[in-house]
Parts: sequence; C-alpha cells; structure tokens
Amino acid sequence: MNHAIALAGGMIAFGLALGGGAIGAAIGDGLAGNATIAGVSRQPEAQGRLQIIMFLIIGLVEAMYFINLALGFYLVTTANAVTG
Amino acid sequence: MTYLAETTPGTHALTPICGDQYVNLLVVKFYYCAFTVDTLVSSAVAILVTLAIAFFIASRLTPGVPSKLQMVLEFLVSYTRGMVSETVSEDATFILPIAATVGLYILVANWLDFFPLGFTSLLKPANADLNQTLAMAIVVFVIVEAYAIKVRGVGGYLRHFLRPPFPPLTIIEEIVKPVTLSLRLFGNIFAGLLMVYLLTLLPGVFAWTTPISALGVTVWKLFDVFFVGTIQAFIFMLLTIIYFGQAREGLEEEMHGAHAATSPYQDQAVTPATTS
Repeated sequence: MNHAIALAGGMIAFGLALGGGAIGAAIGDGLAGNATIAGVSRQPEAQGRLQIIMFLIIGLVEAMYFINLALGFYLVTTANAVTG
Repeated sequence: MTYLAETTPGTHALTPICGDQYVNLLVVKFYYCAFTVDTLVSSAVAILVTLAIAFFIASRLTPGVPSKLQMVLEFLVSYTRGMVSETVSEDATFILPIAATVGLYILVANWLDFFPLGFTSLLKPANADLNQTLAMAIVVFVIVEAYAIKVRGVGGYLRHFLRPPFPPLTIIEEIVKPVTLSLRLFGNIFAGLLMVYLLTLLPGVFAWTTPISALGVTVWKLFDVFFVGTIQAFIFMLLTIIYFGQAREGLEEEMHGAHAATSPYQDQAVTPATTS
C-alpha cells in the first residue's frame, strides 16, 4: 500500500515537473527565437553570429528541462526501488 | 531491434571496494567507497579516442598545407584562444589547454554515444553518469577558485564575497556553479539515453510499432548526438571560460580607478567634461 502511494506520488510529481519544465523551456526558446528574428531583421549580415548565440541560449534553456527529466526519472526509479 | 536496445538507464552497477555492501542506493556510506565500472570503462574509451585523434593529428602536422582534420582542429583551438583572451585576459594562457581539452573530450564522449552501446553492459554514454560530469565540474571549480585567489590575493578574494547585493547570495552563487555545470551535461545526455530506451521498449508493447521505433531511434540519435551533444560540449567549454572571466571580474576597474586617483592628469581629464 505504501509502495503504491509512493509510486503514485512520484509519478504525479514527475508529471508536474515535466509539464512545468516544458512550459518554461518553450517560453525561453520562444524568447530566444524572438530576439534572434528581431536582430536579423535589423542587421541581416549578423545572421550567422546571431544563430550561433541562439543555439547556445537554446542549449542553456533546454538544459533545465532535461535536468528535470533526468532527476525526475531518478526519483521515480529510486522511490520504486526503496519502497518496493 | 534488440541490437539497438540500451540497458535500463540510471542503473549504474556500483562496485564497492571496501565498507559495507548495501543494496539500497540511498546509503551514503556506500558512495564513498564504490566505483561505477561502466562509466570508468566508457570514459576510458572516450579518453583513448580523444588521445588517438590528437596524436594522429600531431604526428602528421604539415605547416604549409594543413590537412582537413588539422584545419578543423586549428580553427577550434584558435577560436578558443580568442575567446579566452577576450573573456578573461591576454596573459591567462593556461586556460586554453583546460578549456580545449574539456571541450574536445566531452565532444568525443558525446559523439561516441551514436554507436549502439547496448551489446555490453560495460559501455554506456560516459556523461550519463553524474559522477563523471561532477568530477569534471569540480576540477574546473577548484582551478577557477585557485585562479581567483591568485589574481585577487587572499584578502581580495574574501572581500569579493562581500560585494553589494547580499553576501550569502554570492557564496551560493559560487557553489551553484559546479552543480549546474555538471547537472546540465548529465541531464542532457541522460535524457537522450532515456529516450532511446523508451523507444526500444515500444515494440515489446505493440508489435506493429517496430518500424516506427527503429526510425525514431535513428532520428533521435542523430538529433541528440550531433546537435545536443555538440552544443552541450561547447556550452561546457564556454562556461568554463566564462567562470574564469568572472573570477577576475571587476579587477580592471579597480586597478583603473586606483590608477586614475593617483594620476597627475586627473584634473585635466575631468575639466573638459564639466565645461562642455
């Protein structure tokens, strides 16, 4: 019974973390793309440099989501192993 | 499809060399005296490949007409050197070997994940273990702090923690650096591993998804390895350099300010600004 409750709680927390993380990562990606488009439309010759920076920022932003995913998976499997 | 299947992610078999053996992973005592052999083996493979590439290029150096591989590496090294001299300082040449080695090693280790590593449980993506990435981040952190002490002096280093906003916050800021640095790389690579694992589980549930799963694994591995892996290696290298830059942040202004205060030309420099 305790195992089932712990697993269910872990799954719900995992889902919440993934959902919130996805929202944040999507907003961050959108902001980075928005700023890049604005920069390119102002200075078309800077497109190459701006794209490198944009991918860099996207990597940094999405890292938070992936940390959520990995640590959430760790928590779920650990809760499974400890209580089961 | 079995040849593409990875072993269950997150289950690094711990091999204790001393102390009590607990099955429960939460026992802290266990961690102090155990190795994850799979990570050791796979990082050793990555190190050997990195060294092989470097020595292969070094043995075939041609000054006049560089080969293609030499050109690529020379571009990367000169790019890193430019970044170091731009972000940190001209005379901080010792950062280039650290940053370039870390970047090249992580790049090679990430690109090796493209090969199906499931045929033996000893080969996993090297950076999908927090121990590996945390070790690299702690090495970078220690060298950054040592550089900060060397540049500022012990008193200046300690005084730097008391800068305006809120002293505890600056200490937390320092501690958070290696944590995020390691977790970022680990999270990305581990999530890629997890995705491959989930995709290979799919045909066991629905048999008709076998072609979708094969295609998905291929596409995902291409994206994850060559896009995410490259970007994460670059980000790790870039943040290493940026942390070195932050270690001497504000130093130029302080020296400049001290210099300006003792300068005999101070009055002449100020006068035109006030009169105009």
